[in-house]
Amino acid sequence: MTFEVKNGCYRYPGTERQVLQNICLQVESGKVLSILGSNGVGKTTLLRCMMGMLQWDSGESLLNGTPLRQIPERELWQKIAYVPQAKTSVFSYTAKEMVTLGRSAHLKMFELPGAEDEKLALACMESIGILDLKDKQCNEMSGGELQMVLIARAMTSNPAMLILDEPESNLDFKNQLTVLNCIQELSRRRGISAVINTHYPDHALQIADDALILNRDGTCVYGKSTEVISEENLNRAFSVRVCIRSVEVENEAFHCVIPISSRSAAAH
Amino acid sequence: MSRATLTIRSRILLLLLPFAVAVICLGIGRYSISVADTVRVLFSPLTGTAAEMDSTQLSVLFGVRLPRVILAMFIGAGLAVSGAAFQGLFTNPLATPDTLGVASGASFGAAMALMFSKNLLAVQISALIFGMCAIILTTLISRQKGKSTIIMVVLSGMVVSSLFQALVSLVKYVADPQDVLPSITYWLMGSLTGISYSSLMLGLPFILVGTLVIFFLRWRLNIMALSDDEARSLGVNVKRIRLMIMFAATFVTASCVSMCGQVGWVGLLVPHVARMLFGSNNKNVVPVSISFGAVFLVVIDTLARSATAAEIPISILTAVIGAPFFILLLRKTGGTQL
Repeated sequence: MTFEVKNGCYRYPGTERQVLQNICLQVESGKVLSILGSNGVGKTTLLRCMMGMLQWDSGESLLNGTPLRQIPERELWQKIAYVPQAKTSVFSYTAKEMVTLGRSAHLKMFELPGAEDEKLALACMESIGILDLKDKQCNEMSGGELQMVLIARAMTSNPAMLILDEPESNLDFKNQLTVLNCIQELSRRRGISAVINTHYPDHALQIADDALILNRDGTCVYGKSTEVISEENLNRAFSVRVCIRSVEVENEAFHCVIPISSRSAAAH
Repeated sequence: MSRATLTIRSRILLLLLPFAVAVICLGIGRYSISVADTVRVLFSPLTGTAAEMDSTQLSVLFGVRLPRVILAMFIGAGLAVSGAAFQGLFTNPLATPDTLGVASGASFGAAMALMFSKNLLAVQISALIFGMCAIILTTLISRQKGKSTIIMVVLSGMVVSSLFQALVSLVKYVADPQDVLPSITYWLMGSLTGISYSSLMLGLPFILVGTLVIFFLRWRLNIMALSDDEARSLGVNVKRIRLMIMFAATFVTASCVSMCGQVGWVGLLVPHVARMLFGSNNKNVVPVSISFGAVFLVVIDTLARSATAAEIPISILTAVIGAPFFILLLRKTGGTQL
């Protein structure tokens, strides 16, 4: 599977600011792309344009070379799955009920999920290690648990690509690690590609093959994550002076991004 | 809180419960008939023994009580299921045909039609048109940047409801006080009296069709609790489903209102009880609401016609019983299970 964006440009109707300018990216099977950028820069807008929820002003998204708008919705959402930020709803469903909702694209309008669909939902929960949550109410879960449930829901349609909007935001240390490890496992073991919006450059360095940093002017820097996530690029995108160091623990290299000061390096 | 699961046995019970309650209630009234006699008389036309039955019992059951009990079952089921549908649709535990202004809109439509004609079909269509106007108005007022919060939906519903109630008052003000006004006023309070088989045949298909649409879309109703992007990413045509459910629920409400006036509380109370017992999954909430709604209104209507010498308007009873029950429910759950 190959997912591409070619020269994507977007501006909100009735506004002057070009949110996204000439965005080009490519995601191959089993690869993880992370999207970084400061608050309000347009990361979620980029995801929405990529998935066809918003129409590019110019440029296009392609799945295996076919423009997204030419793929019927039901077919498209069997290949791509979207994982939103974990938020509880007024009406609470059990984890199993929530995960089974992921089978929607495979069912006809008036069809109910059958035993096979429920079995598949449980199998997806088991594959990411959350089967014990199946009867727990979603609004009684921790943020991390709910995020894992949403990932399991996305997995029920057996997608080739996952698109995750800040999956580790608002989570504590351990839950962040659980979610990131899960994404990494899915890409490495099952060849699922993933696009994740994140606020954390070190998370991107940890799990992403490629990275895209969005700047305030709508331009972006795109390439291998170890090349793109540099002190200079982060400084330009976030106006924060940072220092990137590599630490070796038990023969494994970990990257740390240390913010030094909120004034950009150019100001120094 | 542990929730019961909807097993095959409980599904059969849910299906049989309204009929069992209906048979018991058919025997209750000024002229009391035992359950065994009720069953015998009810099945006599099928077994060919009608001629051997007591003619008074035959006339009380078939002529007076049966059409009324059938109507109560359909109205109860219809109002409860449209309440469940609106709550799912707006992801709002307080959304009901009453709070969204649909019932008031339909009342205005029906009252206006009643002023000019007694034709039930005209009343139905007029109620449906104004019910739809009300729900569209509430939706448009409450939506800001494509989203509507719980509080905005409730406030918009209140405004739209007040507007249509004022219009109903206007209709009453200009209606003929000798002839039309008393009938509109009594109808507005909610009454199941004087229903005939012919008017049942005209109104029930509307309720049945709307209820069936909601019943078959009940699992899709769960998806409405998610954000639009999320729902769309699950391969669901959100707009089409939303419109279908909205139309079906308004259709049911308008038909109920045109047949027996504004009966409050059913759409709020019954789905909440269903949710408390079986969880929020609409796959369960919808069928349980249909069953409990039918039972609730048959019981209330039996009380309305047999508790005192004079008949009590049904909406007074639903409020008198519904309000304390809802207060109890609120206090018990602290609002968290709503």
